Amino acid sequence: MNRPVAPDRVDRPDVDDVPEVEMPWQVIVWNDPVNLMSYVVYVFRRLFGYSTEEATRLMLAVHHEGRAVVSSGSLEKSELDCYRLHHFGLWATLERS
Amino acid sequence: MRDPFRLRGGMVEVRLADAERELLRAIPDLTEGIRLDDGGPSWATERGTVHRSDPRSERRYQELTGGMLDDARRTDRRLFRDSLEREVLTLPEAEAWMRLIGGARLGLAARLGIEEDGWEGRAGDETLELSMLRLLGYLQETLISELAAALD
Repeated sequence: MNRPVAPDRVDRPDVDDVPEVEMPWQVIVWNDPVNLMSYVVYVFRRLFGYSTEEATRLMLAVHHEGRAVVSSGSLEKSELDCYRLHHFGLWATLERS
Repeated sequence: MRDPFRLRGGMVEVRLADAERELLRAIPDLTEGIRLDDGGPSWATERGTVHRSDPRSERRYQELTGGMLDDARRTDRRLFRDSLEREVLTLPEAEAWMRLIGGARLGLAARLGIEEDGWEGRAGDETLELSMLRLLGYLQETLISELAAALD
């Protein structure tokens, strides 16, 4: 069994050096005047497994506030989420949390 | 008037009127020629950009996914064309229909220069494209309703 070892003292890391897992990305869906409300609810349920209530809440946030965060995580996962949203015809972008 | 789509036994029955089916036959060509980033309202031109303030990340993302997205849309068009004259759809086929109808609506709306919500109630300037947009909205809505029931 290994014994615990006191860690070496290190300087505070630069922001760019912080591992990605500590700085998750957010997937933002933006309002457009064309996609149906029921369609947006369907897509959120279908892609992210949200309940109807949560998907509806997010859809209304998109509709009334112009945008909503629909998922977050690593860059790779968030880009995949964006790609899937684009395939369904929604307007999605990425931002750092 | 009966609904054009009905979920039954894990499949979607298609009960389109002749005029509705005729309209849908135009969709693959319509969606293939549409480029939403080629002028028009901001919701159309900006929607393809994921990393809005980082051109390098954006280039990498586009190189990674651009071809995948084209392939996925091509597959949707193939599924749609192959099933267009059928009376029963599998759920993946019905989803391809739903996405393509949505894509056609986006393209028509961009071409019409629709900028904001509220255009649905606009009266007095009914064009063929606006009529198509409304009818496709009705068809998509009923299809969504049946596909949502399949998620429950």
